[in-house]
Amino acid sequence: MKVRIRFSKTGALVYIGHLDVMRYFQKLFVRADIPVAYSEGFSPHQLLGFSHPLPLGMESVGEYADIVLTRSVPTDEALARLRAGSVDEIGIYSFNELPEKCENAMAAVCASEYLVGFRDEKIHDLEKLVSDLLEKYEINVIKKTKKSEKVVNIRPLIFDLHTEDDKLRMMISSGSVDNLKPELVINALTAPLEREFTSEELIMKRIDQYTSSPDGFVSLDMIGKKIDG
Amino acid sequence: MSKLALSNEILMSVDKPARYIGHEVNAVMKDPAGRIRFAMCFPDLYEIGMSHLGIQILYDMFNSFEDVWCERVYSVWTDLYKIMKERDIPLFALESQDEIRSFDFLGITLQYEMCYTNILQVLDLSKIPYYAADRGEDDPIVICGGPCAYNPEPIADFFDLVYIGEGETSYKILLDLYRDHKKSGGSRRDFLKKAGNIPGIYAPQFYTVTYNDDGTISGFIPEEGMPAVIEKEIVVDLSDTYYPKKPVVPYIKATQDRVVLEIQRGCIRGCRFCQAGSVYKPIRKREEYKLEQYAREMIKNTGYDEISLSSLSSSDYPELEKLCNFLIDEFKDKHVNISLPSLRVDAFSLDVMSKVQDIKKSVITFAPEAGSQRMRNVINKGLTKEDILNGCEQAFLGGWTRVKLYFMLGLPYETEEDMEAIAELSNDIAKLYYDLIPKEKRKTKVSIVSSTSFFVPKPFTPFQWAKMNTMDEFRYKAHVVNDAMHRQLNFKSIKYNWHAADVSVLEGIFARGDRRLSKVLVSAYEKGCIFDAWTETFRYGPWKEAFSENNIDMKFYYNRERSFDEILPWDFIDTGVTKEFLKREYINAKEEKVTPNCRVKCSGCGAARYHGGVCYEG
Repeated sequence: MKVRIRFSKTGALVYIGHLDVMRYFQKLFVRADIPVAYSEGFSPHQLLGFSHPLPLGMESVGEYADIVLTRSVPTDEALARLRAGSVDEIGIYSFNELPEKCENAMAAVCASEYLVGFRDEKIHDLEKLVSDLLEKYEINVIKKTKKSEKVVNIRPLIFDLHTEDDKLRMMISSGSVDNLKPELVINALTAPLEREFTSEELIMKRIDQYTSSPDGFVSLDMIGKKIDG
Repeated sequence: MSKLALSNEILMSVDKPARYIGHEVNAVMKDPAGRIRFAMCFPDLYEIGMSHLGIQILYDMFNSFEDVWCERVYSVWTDLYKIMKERDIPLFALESQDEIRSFDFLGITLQYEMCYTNILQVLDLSKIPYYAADRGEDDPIVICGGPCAYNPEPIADFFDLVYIGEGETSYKILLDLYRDHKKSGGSRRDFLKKAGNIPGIYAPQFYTVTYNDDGTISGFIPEEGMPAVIEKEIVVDLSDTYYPKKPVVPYIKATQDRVVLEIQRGCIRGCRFCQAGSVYKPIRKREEYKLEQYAREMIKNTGYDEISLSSLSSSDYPELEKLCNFLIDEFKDKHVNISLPSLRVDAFSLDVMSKVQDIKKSVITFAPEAGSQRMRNVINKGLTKEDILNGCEQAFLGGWTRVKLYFMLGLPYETEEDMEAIAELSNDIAKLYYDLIPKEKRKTKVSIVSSTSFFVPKPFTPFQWAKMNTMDEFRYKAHVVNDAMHRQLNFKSIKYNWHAADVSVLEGIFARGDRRLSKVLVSAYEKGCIFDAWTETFRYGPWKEAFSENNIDMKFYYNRERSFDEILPWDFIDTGVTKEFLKREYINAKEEKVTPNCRVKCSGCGAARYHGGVCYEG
């Protein structure tokens, strides 16, 4: 049986890397006595996968882990045990059974929602900057990878962008095909001010991750269903 | 957002910021109001310090005291060190992220001599004066313990108090004294004087050391009211004491990333080079049924996927077979790996290992320590060539193909034949494999890895009087072994490694040093020496300068045979093992006489006065 867990990663734990989060969950499942299935072979490992890795330094309330169970555990019971075994900075939000034929969290993600604020600065006329940006047909930015730099039009990758007080809420493309980092959107936004922000100068929080459906974007949390006791 | 001592910008700019944030599973949080605050420090990187069982035991014990909050602190790596110095950021404890300087106690464990400059880094970043004599009423009480505290003299000037022996016994008395003292408003000096009268606790500033013209010690004089001799503390009944059933679980991978089960403390084998074997006498075991409970609880409380037994020689644990069978049965289906270090290689251990490990990946390890039988008699290492070859034969037949061997160079009375015997023994093992396993059955060639370290004489061992080799002698000896390796028929199956000689010499100086060395440590630290146990940060040059600037002759401390009459810097400590016994053993070494282990025959070392352990078995 496949199960999806939604969790948060906040506070001091933003400084824990993706692999350490994986190791954290491996131990949490043992502490919470969750019957996770293991792979076969000489060095068996838990059947555990995550959605799109969260960058170091970023908070999130919309992270996902998919696991395979050897036997069913009711959602309420599993949540109580996982919460008891976890630190406050990793909150366990849901524990839902996934349909038999279902993409794993990593493959399913196609959009992410972020809330981005400026750490030590106040940007005036944020709303005007947003409307100017969204009016553009093309937003060409330089995307740096380890190997090369290339110019990419990110306008089609921005699904929604609006202000929320001094912050920006955005829904942008995510996943293995067209992954867009929120700081690239911010820098396209503030380009008219000739001001570039590093990710350390921003306070970024991932709100949720989405997959596509005939009805539009659906939160990864909506795919499964509660396991009754 | 939870409180952090370092800003986001700093945390994002340093390597592995998780070293500095605390908040781990099982970390203990308390309200500081009205509590004695104890900062427990392992003066090395987080990943090293978090792997140490002793700290886990003491952390658990201190926090079991209602009126105490014990937190952890580790050395900061060079990247953060630079930032903290530049921006004047004080060192903090992981749990509360509060400044160390505001604590009541700073406790530092001393596991190896090459961490001594890191002590100064901790004091420096905490803004606590290096020298105990310079500290004021508001500074924390700085105390140390651990194996290096058996000769605390080189670092005695930095500590208000030194705890000699096992921490489980006297800390409660010390903390109660401190609380009462705070209430009555007494001075720091008064407190330290009283503390120095608690069993096992030494207050160095109340002792004066005088010297002869030749540099040796002429007197060690306590102030009035201070004990002339400090007796080491031990836990007599190890089954009835603290055990950390909920150890802190780090987020990043620690060096020992597993549950550790201490099965016994001490050793029955009297290897003459081994300090641990001597100072932890007599051997005491934990009850097997309790270890079963601990193992279950600790896996449940941590979620670790591995459990390891810890002791100086696990094969000497009387109920080893029962314990191993329990661990295998209990954890076989729960994906918990079992690791069994320091096991004698024999039919039993190979059988256990084949059940718990992948034979293709595992390595058979021996520590013959010396190549020839003559030399092994000198050091009283009760392992014969026959034992090694028998163990290897069974291992090879069982499918193992990798063997690791550990040796020492520079042992007392060593000859060139003894050095060459290291290569010959390595070759004999390879030859055994090729003779034993027919060509068509060999899946791979045999791999023998032989390593030599350089012998460093340690206090409270029969070799405490011995002359240590010079760097040139060490390098020559490694060369002799390396040449001999190349002459062996099977040298292509053997890999030979040797340690750096310069670090060994410094270790030798500080292991048997006296109070005059504290200023060398300060000079070396001021020249930028930190993390001297790490090859990437160790630099010998500044150390050499630090010695010469302070007019200290390095050879006086390591390259000199001491006479039996000389007052040794650590003579004021009584470990139970008598000086007469150690002298006897040094003479036995010279005469190549073997001393039987504690279970075969009592050799009257003196440790029986603790009324426990092996001395009272049966």
